[in-house]
Amino acid sequence: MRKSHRDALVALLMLSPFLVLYIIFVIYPAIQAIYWSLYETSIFGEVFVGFRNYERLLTGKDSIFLMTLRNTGIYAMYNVIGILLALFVAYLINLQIVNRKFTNLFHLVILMPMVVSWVTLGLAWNYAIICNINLIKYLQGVTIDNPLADYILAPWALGAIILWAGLGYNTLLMLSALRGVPRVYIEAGLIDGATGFALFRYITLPLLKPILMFLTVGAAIGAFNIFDPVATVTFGGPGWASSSVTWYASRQLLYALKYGYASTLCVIAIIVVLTLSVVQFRIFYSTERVY
Amino acid sequence: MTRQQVVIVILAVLVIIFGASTAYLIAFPPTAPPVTVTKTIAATVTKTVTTTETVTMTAPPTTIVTTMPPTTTVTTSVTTSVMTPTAPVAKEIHQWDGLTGGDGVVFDEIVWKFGNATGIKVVRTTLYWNDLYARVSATYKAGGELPPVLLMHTSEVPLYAGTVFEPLDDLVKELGITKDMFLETAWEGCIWNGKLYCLPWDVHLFAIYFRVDLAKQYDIPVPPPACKAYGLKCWDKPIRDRNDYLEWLRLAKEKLPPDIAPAGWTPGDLNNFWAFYGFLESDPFVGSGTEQDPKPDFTSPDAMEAFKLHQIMYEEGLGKVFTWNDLASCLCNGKAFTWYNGPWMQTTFDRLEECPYGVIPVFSKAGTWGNSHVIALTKSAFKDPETLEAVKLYLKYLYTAESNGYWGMHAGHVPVFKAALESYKSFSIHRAMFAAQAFDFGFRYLPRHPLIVQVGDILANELGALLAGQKTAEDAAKSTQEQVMEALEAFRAAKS
Repeated sequence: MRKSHRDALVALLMLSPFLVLYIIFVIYPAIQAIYWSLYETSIFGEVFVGFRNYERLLTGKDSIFLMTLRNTGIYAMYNVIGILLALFVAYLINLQIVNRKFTNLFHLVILMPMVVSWVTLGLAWNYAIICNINLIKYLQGVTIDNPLADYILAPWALGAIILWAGLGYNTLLMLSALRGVPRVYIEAGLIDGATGFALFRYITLPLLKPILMFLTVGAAIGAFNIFDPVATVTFGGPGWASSSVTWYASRQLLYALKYGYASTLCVIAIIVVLTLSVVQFRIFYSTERVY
Repeated sequence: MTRQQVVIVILAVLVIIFGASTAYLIAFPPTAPPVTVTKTIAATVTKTVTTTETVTMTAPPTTIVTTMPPTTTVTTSVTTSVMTPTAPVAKEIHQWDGLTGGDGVVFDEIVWKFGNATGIKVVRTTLYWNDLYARVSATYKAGGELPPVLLMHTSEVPLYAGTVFEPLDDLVKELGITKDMFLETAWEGCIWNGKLYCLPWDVHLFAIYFRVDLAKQYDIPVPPPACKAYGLKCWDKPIRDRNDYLEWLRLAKEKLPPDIAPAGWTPGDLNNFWAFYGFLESDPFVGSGTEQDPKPDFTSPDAMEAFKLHQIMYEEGLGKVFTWNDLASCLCNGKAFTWYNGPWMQTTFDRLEECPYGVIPVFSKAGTWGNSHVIALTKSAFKDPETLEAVKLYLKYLYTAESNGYWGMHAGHVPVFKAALESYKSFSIHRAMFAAQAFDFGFRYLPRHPLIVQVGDILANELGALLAGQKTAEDAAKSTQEQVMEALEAFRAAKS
């Protein structure tokens, strides 16, 4: 056997545990989802309907799906704001103006939401909002409505909670990106007389552009996958006002027992996420990258 | 300020926000911490050696409790004969149910007592109801093995009778369980295509919870019989239909301050669908058809009036939307005067410190929404003689006045065993009001059709949108009709 074939076989053997699990738990269910998306289903049986489910979703006949798309846009927007906010915070830390102990404390505190599960966070945020509303009423005599019970405000309130929970992780990523900027460029800029904002705008930011684009696309992908915060904070409510696509798919499966339609929603989500992933891949490996 | 100072201030602010918010979320309890009511159950186990299986249970002493402050000790004496099996029995039987709330704790106590009496362990797997239905359906479709015992609802009988549920006619004859021991409506709910597919365990139905302290403070007359039960000023009539309901809410609104809503509602969940049925005099899902072959008409005059009621609630400020957690905190700690909901909330309110709630039975013209928990058996219960013997003992234990009565008294649901009703009614004023709702005012089951849960989901969201002023009654009715017809056509196509 030629050496290259032997090497390829060895590589395949090494990869096989992962590949087997990947095929069983990712590829096969995805193929099954595509198959079932062509059927109308119930406990009594399935009827082949072709692309009718897709037609219903993509022609705007399903107003709830349109609402979940709007919410996904809101959550993606919050994710992007989170990245920019994380960049700002990481930039401040990277200036190394404050002493190390404070920086370490800051890291600890800002990462705390990341280590708490969404089951705890969701329940806690629900009660915290109720408590704070009661506290404000007690202290100020002002009645504030619970934003999580408001059709307009609910997705915005939930997006803010998601931003809060993800800020620590994004800050860490930004900080490592900032520390990866070669010092020589900063020093060259300083020698040429650039200071402060000019340094950031003309030297640091262009060097961060690839990672920023990468994270932004990742934020959009993440918005499509949002499930835990919806399930634990608002249950998609009020009504469907804060539902995400994945939450809607789970409701179609578990409440309506319509696994055909749920599969259609998932297939559309897969297509969108795959497209965004290809974009992300191209950005990351783009020849325009400086380093 | 120097640049260093600015950076320090910004980072310090972030530390305070993040640190304080996370610490607050983890450390501080909610506003209405649940308080465990201490219950001392003195169980006297008398060994009875007998050649035949006997179950003799004495009803617990009746205790009238108006409120349950945290330090109340409720003592229940139970004399239990050891149930000696006469045939080999399985040591363990599995049950799936959805009793995730306070009633689940009560059922734990019941199975614990059964375990003590027989040595048979009942292993309960508790899921949220919709997860349970999905899991049961998926297991059935995949040809998997379900547990011997399922605790579900009457509304699932059309879906699971003949597929997941096994017929029990012969078994109940053998156990000596007869129809006349039960409330007739509950028994009939378990019959499908002429066969008995389950045994009813309770009835749970909607009534109106209200804050007794607010009624006193703002001098709001309360409809009978609740006014007499709670010692309050009486309104001139009971609430018999939706017009009476609106009239009473308007009266309450006049007397309440602006920051207290006359009625609290949860946004877009099944409770709104169930409440909707109390506002109807006909059945818009069945329409002019039958339960087996419905002809839905959600745009009928009766249905339109029920939709309009929700629109009026929003327009006149009679109803306000709160989250479930808000309302479960004793009706938003007084921000809502009433909440139209089921008997399960009693177990929550009873455990809250100083929750002065009351119950008003309503809608005697057509009755409120009702459903029943039912015990059903799957093929697994009959797979071997030992499991079947264990299941038979379990059913014999459950279907006694003592067990069913204990369930009713402590979980709040209305017992279906006729012999258990008196102890339920006399346990507390709130239970007595729910009993009045069941027997004097009335309830009705949802139409028995496999699609009814999906219809409920459709309606729940339309009603949630109405209550939030997002839609008009006409739009909601039209949208409901379109969605229900589409779902029904798909269902018929799949079934054929």
